[in-house]
Amino acid sequence: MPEPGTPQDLRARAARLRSVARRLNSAQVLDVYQRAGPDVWIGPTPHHCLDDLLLIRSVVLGAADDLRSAAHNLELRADQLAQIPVGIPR
Amino acid sequence: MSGYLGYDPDLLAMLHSVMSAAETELNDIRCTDPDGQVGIRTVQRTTATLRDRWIPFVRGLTSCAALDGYRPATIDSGDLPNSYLAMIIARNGWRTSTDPLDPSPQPLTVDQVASLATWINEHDLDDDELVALHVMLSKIASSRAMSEAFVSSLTTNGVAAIVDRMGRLTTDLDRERDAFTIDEHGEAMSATATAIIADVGGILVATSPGNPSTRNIIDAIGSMHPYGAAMLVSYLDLDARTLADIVDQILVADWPDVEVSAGVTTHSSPIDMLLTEVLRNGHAASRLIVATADHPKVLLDPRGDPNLIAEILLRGTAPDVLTEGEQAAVIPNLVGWLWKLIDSPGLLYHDHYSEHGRDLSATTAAVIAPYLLQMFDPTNTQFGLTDSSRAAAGHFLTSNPTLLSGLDDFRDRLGTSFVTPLGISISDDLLMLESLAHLVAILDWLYLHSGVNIAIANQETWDFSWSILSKLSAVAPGPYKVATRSAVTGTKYLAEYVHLDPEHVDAAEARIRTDSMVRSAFVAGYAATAMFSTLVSQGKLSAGNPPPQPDLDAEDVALTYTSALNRWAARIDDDDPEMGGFARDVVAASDKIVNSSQAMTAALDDDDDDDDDDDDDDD
Repeated sequence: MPEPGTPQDLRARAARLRSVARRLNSAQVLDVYQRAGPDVWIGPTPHHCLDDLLLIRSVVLGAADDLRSAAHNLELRADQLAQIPVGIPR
Repeated sequence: MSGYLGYDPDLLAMLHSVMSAAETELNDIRCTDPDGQVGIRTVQRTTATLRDRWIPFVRGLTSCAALDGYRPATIDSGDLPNSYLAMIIARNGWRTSTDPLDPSPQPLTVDQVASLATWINEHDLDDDELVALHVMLSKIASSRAMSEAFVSSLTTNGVAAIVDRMGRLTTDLDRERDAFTIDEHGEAMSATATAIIADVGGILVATSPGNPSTRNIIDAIGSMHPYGAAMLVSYLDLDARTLADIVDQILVADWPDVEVSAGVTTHSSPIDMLLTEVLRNGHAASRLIVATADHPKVLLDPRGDPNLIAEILLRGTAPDVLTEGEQAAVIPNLVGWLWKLIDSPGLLYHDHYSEHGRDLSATTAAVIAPYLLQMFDPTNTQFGLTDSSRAAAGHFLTSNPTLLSGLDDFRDRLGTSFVTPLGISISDDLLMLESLAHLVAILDWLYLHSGVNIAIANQETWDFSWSILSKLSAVAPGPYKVATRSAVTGTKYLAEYVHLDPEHVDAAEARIRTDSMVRSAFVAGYAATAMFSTLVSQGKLSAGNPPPQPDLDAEDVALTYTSALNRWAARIDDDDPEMGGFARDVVAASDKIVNSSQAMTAALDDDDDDDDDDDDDDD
């Protein structure tokens, strides 16, 4: 277990965030809308359902992007820390 | 307004399964990192919609559980707004339930538009569906893609169903309006019918001219209800030939429920609407004349406004809008029909014209006027008329004083119109003057024969009257016989002495021929003046020495004028031989008129004599 706040710790957190992002990107919920189209049911309620499924898809994909972005920021910070000479007070 | 929900139970069960699995999977995705908390919480909040609303709803629907507002139902076959839904459900064998949500916010799709077109092809429209139809058609008309999809699935029968329905509805509502029985609902329906036709027009315009279905629909308009068709064409920017063909088809079709116009109703008749559209379109009048060349009777449709029909006849037969071939194909047949109409007061058409005060003779005269050369010049072969048909035309004109007087304006314009067209070249000018001189001669010849016919008729009436009186005196009782005969003879003598008797035929002919020569002299004067003006503008003659004009007080106006003109040219020649040459051109222009007129008159007289001989032979 790396010490909190060290470059190794930050990179480990970034890896976990990227892992969650990958799971979100491959989640079944992203494809549910394809099973809820006008070939399955039609009418005002199905239309609303489809809208909701597309919204969920958009939110999940957005969340995955946010997680990758957060991971990227952690990696940048880890790189910056790694370039600071040992012994100089921070 | 509630809608309907149609679904496939098996596919919906699969959807339920997928939704549940997806929800479970999302619940398993966790993230303890502080930088991932916000995103994951958003995902979980959104997923709650799936868990709390859609999964239970789909499960309830597939298990036929009671859901508030969702009850098993069927969609009525006449439910136009839900026609797309009904068609899909029927095609797939799905279940149907009511749906409490409002269906209106859903945008139309290409599939929906196509199925609406199919629905229209297969169903009759009733009044309750018209407003919904207008809403949908107006949406379709606002999009090129939707219009294309709609037209591609719409048959000509489908369009005809709409146009016929709107035509009949508007006709009925117009009648109610005329009878002051129309109510607010009727007025609203009338506006809706007009709006629907406008929608259809907008859709056709949006897809024209590239879409073959649109072309087929436009070509079929002529077979649709006249009122609907008339409304529809007013929204289409049709080319002249297409419009003329449509109007021709409608006139020929003779729909029974089309009303007459001209003040009978408070609104325009469909025939008038179509005729107005023809007049609004630059060349449609001539195309309509050509389209009806072999059945011109339809042009004189008694349901149309005679003034509009007359305007189409005048505009559509003008020489500059018809080729020579079209003139030959159109004018003789049309004029023949017009003559038949004038000659047959019993025809419905004739009554219609009389009722509305339209002088059909004046219209006929105006149609004939530009074609007098083709009709009466014995050397003109453009119309391919035989001598006997020319003679028949001449006899008809000369025996119809009203018709002949219709040519008065044309004759009066002939002389003054010389001035404008001259100035091309001396030879061309003389050629043109020759044609105009022929026209003047033809007109004078027609007037001469008309005048002689009138004189003959008057003389015959006069003689017949006295012969009756003489016969009466012969059967008078014995004692009074001699006295009565003397009284009749004396009265006739007295009447002739004070010029109560009609003008003798020879005297009438001499008078008209003299009038004709005076007119010819005046036209020759116009020609000389026109030629002089041309030469002055070219700097070849001096403006200060104009040619003389005919002297009305002279005993022989023509001869006196010719002499005076020649003396004028000789004087100029004496002063300046070069100018004298141009002055002789002026004399030549005048001579051309006089000589050409005389030559044409002689040719017409010869033709007439030949015809009389033929008649004698026939006898």
